[in-house]
Parts: sequence; structure tokens; C-alpha cells
Amino acid sequence: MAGLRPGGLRIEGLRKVFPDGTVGLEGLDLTVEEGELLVLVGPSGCGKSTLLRLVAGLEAPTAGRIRIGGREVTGLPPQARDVAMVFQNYALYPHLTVAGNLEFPLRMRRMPRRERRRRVAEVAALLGLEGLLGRRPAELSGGQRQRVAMGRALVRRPALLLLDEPLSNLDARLRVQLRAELAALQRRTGVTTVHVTHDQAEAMTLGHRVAVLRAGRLEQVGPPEALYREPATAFVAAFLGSPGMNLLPGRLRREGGGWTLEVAGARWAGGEGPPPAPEGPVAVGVRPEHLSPEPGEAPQPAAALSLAVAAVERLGHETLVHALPPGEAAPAGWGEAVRGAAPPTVALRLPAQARQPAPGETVAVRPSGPLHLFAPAAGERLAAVEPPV
Amino acid sequence: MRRRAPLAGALLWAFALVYLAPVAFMVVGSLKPDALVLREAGSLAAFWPEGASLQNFRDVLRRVDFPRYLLNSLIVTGATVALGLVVNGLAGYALARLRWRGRRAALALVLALLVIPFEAIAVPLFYLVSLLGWRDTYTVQVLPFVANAFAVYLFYSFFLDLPRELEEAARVDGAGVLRTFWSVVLPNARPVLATVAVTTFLFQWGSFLWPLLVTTSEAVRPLPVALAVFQTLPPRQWGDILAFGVMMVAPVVLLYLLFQPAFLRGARLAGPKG
Repeated sequence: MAGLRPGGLRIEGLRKVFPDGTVGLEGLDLTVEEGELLVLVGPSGCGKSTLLRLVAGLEAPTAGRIRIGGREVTGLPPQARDVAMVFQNYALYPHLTVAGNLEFPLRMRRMPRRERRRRVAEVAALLGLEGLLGRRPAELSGGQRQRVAMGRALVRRPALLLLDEPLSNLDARLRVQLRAELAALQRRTGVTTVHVTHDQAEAMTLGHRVAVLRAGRLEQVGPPEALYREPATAFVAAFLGSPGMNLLPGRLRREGGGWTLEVAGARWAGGEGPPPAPEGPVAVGVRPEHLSPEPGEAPQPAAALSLAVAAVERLGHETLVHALPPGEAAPAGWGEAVRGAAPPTVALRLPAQARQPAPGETVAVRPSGPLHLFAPAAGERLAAVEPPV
Repeated sequence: MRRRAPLAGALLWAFALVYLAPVAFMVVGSLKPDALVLREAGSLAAFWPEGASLQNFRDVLRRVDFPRYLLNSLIVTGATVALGLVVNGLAGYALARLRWRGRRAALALVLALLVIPFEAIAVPLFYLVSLLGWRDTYTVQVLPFVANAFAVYLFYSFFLDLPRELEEAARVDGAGVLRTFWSVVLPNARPVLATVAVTTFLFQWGSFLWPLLVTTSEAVRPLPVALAVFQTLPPRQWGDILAFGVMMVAPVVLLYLLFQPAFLRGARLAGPKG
């Protein structure tokens, strides 16, 4: 009966215009299946927190419908929606102990005392909070507060769990640790979850599916590896990955019986037959790990891209090189969506053993993985081509 | 520590003496035989408790029904404080947090009320309560002072600074608006509750003009009016009058000692952040 389950979250045509005229969301459709963990990711101001607040009932939508667990909740106040939420700053009640905080949602639902005790003990055990039940939030570390906030959200087994950047107030090491705990906890409880973050690494590692939001619109929804492999837009391409996909100005040309692709001074011969997309300018995307330095010194073949090294970051297991292409990085002909997404430099990911270029040096590189072609105006995906040989 | 100029130090001591001398005079005088109080009033001996006894206090309790006045004051002040916390707290919360038509206008009106002294409206108010037939009751001493613009303003500015996520968390956790106010907002508003309680208490405890206008019988008369009447009762015994004053001030001092930590917390809270 999979697929017919009534649970999960259904959002249809959700639109939010704030009183001052700013558009938070424009007509958004999204479905989260029961038991699924969906990560909502995007740059700050993209509307992801607005979406979460609309689902929680903390804001009223301008238009559209929200269904949770098969029940229409669009007009209902937060307390009638059976959702739980973890806030970025945790919002623990300062006047209550950890036990009091965990118990609060149960007390609001008039659960009998014995049942409350049992549930609090259960969730405390689940999150390793047994020793902290008598403390107040002010006496807890950041990681402990985060766990209490999670416990308070899970204790009443909500139909939907909303997480608003729950890990962003923690230091890097703890963030990685709690990220893993969060994933395990969600698997164990099976609660339908929407996790909002601006951290693409969190999105890639955590989500069953990832929804990328930009300027109040959904750019793409899908499993993380699909988004990484086949980004639907130039924005998604450049946003996911660390660093994201490089975007370079290019041009497709028909030539003889085949086609060629020119990228920033380099010229690559495609195959026979018609070009994979209409002739003309394109934005060419290539992952940092798919750019390899040419072996040997000059003279370089016409197919090599020559880049001026600007900065070198040695990370131990690999080295990141940031370099500048000849000519404009993001030409004026590109649309706002593509230009805004394009990183200012071209990134290369080199193995630690490889020869390390120095800043100021010019390196010749050649693509060793797929090239993604995006329309230069709106940034939608046109095609992917294999690297030239 | 900053070193003060000697002149400034001397001035400060002089001011302190000016403020403390009457209090010391009252306390010492209340313990002395009546004859001595007037005779020594002009000399430093007024501050030396010669022949100290509690006789004046016994006399006060014998001559008038002091416990009755004390109870009246406690009832009037207590009711004003309790009702004031609820009414002004809810008003401040509504102004700071809820969205409703006319909110800005209501806020402007409340702030405008801050500048109107009570004395300016005392006579029209007296006329109004007379029409209502409320004279000489507890109600007439309490009701006009429950809603207070300054208290509303204190609550309003405190609630503005309270993190909004706390209330949002409570809403998501299943509490309605009133429940959120009661279970989450109020417990975290102790400093402002204490401040409003104390200022209301002090105002009502010392209130004189209004109760003088509206009370006529001993049954509802509060301490300040009772003291004024006591001064006119023959024989005019200054030691007794001072003893009456000490008994009237004692609860205020007690309150200050009890609430001092809350007072300080409130002052810190109102001060600059960080």
C-alpha cells in the first residue's frame, strides 16, 4: 500500500506576501512522504524559514493549502496542527528544568501525570539526557540544549517534525557529530521531518531527498546524489558541493558534420551529428574534481584551459586551487539567476600527492568528467556532454 | 573607584542628613515620653532616645482602631497590586505581541496618559464615582488605579524584548494565546512583575488625596487619612502621632527588604545590555 499512505506533508500552491510587499514564497508545491526526512536548503532569504513557519502555523499564507497527515490544516492555529518544531536558538523555557521542558508539550495536551513521567523518561533515555533532568537550560552546554530541544519536539510523537537550522549554533565538530545523531534518531523514530538549513553539506549527508529553494521558488527536489549528478539549474549546480560546480562562459557551434564547444579560450571538438543544444552561448558547468592539470609544460594543446592561480588551500587529504579564467568570469549576457550563482573563481580539486601549483602561476587544465550545459539566461539544464579526449 | 572632590563629599553628606533626619526624628520621638518630644524638638537631643518605651504605641492602639486602618490599607493596596498586575500585564502583552486593528493608536493613547497627573482628573473622577454611588467603599479606592499607563508601558517594553521564539515554541507545543501568556511569558517576566508590584504598592500605600475625598467612615479609611484625622484628635500627643507614623511606614520597609533582590534585578534588566 506504499504511496497510498495518508501521512506526510502536502503543500499546494503555497504563496506568502508579507505586509510590506516582499514576496516570501511564490506558489510552491511540495510533498514529503510519511517517514521521510526532507532537507530544505537554500541561501539566506530564500524563503525556507518562511515555508517552515507557514507549515507550523506561526504565519498565515496568502494563498495555497497545507495538509499534514491527510488533514487540511491551512486555517488551524499551531497548537491544532500536531507538528513539533526545533528552533535555531532552541527556545528552551528558561524557568523550567530539562524535565519540565520535556514535559511541557504533554502537559499542554492534558496527558495524565503517570503517562507524562513515562514518556519523559523514555525520550530522556533516547537522547541520553537522564543525568540532566533536574538542570535548567542556562546550566547546559550548546550540544545538551540542542538535545533537549530535540527531546521536547519528539516527546509527544508529532505527525510532523520541523527543524529550523537546528545545528547552526554549534561548533563544527559538534555539528558533524549531532548531524549523525539526528539522522539516526529520525530513522529510529520514523517521524516525518522537514529540516531547514543553509549548509549544503548538511543537506547532502542528511536528507532522503533535498529541496533547493531560491528566491521563494523551488529549483529542484530529489535525492542528494541525483541533485549532485544532474542539477536541474545552474543555481543548484553551483550551490551543492564544496566548493560548488564551476560555471564558465561557453559557445556551441556547428562545424562540418559535427559541433564544437568553446570555453574561455579553449576549444573542444564534440562528436558527429547535431550539437546537444541549440547553437549559441551557454553556461558550462564542471565540478572541481573534474578538472585535471595537463601533464608536462608548454606548448599546450588548444583543448587546454589556461587559468591563473589566485589561491591554494591545502586541506591535507586534498588541495583546493582557486584560479581565474581568461576574460570575464560571468559575462553580461548571462541572466541574473546564472550570474548570481556563478562562483567568482574556478576551483580545482587536486589529490594531495599531485604537484601543487603556486599562486601567480598559470596552469593548463582539461576536463576529465562531464560538462553540464545550462541556458545562459534562466540557467535551466540543457544537456551534459562527456569530456573531450 | 573614583575619588570625589572633598566639597562634593561634604554636599552628599549634607543631603543625606537632610533626608534621614526626619526619619530618625520620627523613630526616636515615637519612643519618648510625649512631654520630651516637643521640648527637645529644637535641639540635638531630639535624636537621643532618652527614657525610651513603647508607651506611645500602646496609646495609639488604645485611642484608635489602628488594626482596622491597617487592614483597610492592606486590602486596598493588595487588591490594586493583584488586579493591576493582571490587567496591565495583559494590556502590555496585547500591545507588544498581538496584532489587532487600532494597536498603534491605543499605544499612543497609553503613552499620552503618562503625562496627565492624577490631581488633574481627581474632581471629575469624584463626580463620576458619586453618580455611581461608590463613595465610601473599597471599590472606589481600588478600581480607578488598577489600569495604569506607566505599568502598561513597563510591561509593554519588557515583552518587546522577550525572545519571540519562546512564545512560538509554546504555541507549537500546544498552548493557546492565554495559556502561553500564563505558562511561559509570566514566569519569565518576574523582574517586571516585581517592579510594577512595588511601584503600585508604594503609590497606593501613601495615597492621601483620593481616599480623603471619597471615604468618610472608619470602616474603609486607609492609614494616611487615618493619620491626618488622628493628628486632629485631642489631646494632641506628638509622641503618639510619631508612633502612628512608624507603624504606617514599617510595612513599606519590610516590603523593601523582601523585594530588594528583585528590585536590583529589575534595575539591571532595565539598564544597558551586555
